Amino acid sequence: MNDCPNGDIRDLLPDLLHERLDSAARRTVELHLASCADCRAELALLHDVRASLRVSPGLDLAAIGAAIPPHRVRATRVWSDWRIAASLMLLAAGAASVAVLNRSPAPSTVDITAVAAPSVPSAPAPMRADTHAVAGGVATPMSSQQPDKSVLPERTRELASTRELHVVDGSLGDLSETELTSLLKEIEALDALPSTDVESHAIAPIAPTRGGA
Amino acid sequence: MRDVAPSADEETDLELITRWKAGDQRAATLLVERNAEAVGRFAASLGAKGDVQEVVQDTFVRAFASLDSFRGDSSLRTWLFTIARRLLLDRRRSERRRGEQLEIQDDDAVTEYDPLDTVVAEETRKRMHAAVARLSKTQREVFMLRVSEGMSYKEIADVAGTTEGAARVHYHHAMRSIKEFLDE
Repeated sequence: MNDCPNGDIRDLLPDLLHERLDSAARRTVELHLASCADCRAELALLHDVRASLRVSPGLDLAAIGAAIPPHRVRATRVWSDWRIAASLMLLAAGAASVAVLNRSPAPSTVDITAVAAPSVPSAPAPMRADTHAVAGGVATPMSSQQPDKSVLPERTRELASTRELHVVDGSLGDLSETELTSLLKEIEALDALPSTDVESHAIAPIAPTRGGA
Repeated sequence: MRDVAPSADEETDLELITRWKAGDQRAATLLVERNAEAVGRFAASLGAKGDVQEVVQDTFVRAFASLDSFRGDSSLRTWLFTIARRLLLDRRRSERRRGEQLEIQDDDAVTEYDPLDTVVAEETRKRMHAAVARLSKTQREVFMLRVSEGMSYKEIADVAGTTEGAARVHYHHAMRSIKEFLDE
């Protein structure tokens, strides 16, 4: 028994046997069969094989049907649905938090006018001799651009008018070495929290540090 | 070349599943009557011997227990065959651990049940059985699904855990082997 060289048609013979071809494909195969003895022989073989193999395994269908339990909706499914919903809400809240944080200014940005105001103690604190003293504030002489004082809070306007240090929307990498040194001094001065015991806070002059901050 | 729309038979299977989920236990019985014989033949072709009834029953119980996850992407019968095949593989592993006989004898699958088919001559039937018995296990599985059950290569690939191309190759090798045997 030879194989027909038309593999596409041979592939469709089992489908023709099981009547799984649409009308167009069926017509194509039947036209081919009319002129191809090899395919006719193969189709006859498939028919015989199928008839030989389709034997009943002798099953007890009633027993199988009786073994199938009724459909039940699992109660735990409801809880799992709630857990999924709660997880999704947590994920959404987390994503929203990350989005909000990403929209805030970068941590490397130094905005003295923004951070100095809340840090300024309400009570007078010991001032360092080498700074331009501002009541309760810290300042380092630095030459920089002036803020728009009209939009600043009164306390901040006061600071900005007397202090020269003002870095907005810049990074620390943009500062010169002198400016950095001055900034470090200013940060040191910020650490001096107001205390009721003035005498115990004798502040010693701080030597400028380089690159150690 | 195949009809794209699902057959009425598949649609009715889905309808019966819906009815069973709604509490109609008779729908389950109808699905068993419609598919159990094919699952049994498939199990026999894979080497199930005296436990075909048990395998088929276990297949249906497991299938109905997880019908909520059946989305109808494949036909119910394909899904049942997949479950039956996994069950048989698990049984073989268990038998192997117990040291029992597990290599399938080549003629087990096709001689376990004597057909009462009076149309096909007894001699022809024996020759066909012998020809199929010569096939490798994979070739026989693919050939049975293609010829006896009329499955497409895609359905066979889903059941056997292979690709359509591999299923096609196995089928043509099986057909070539059967022809050679019958020509001897």
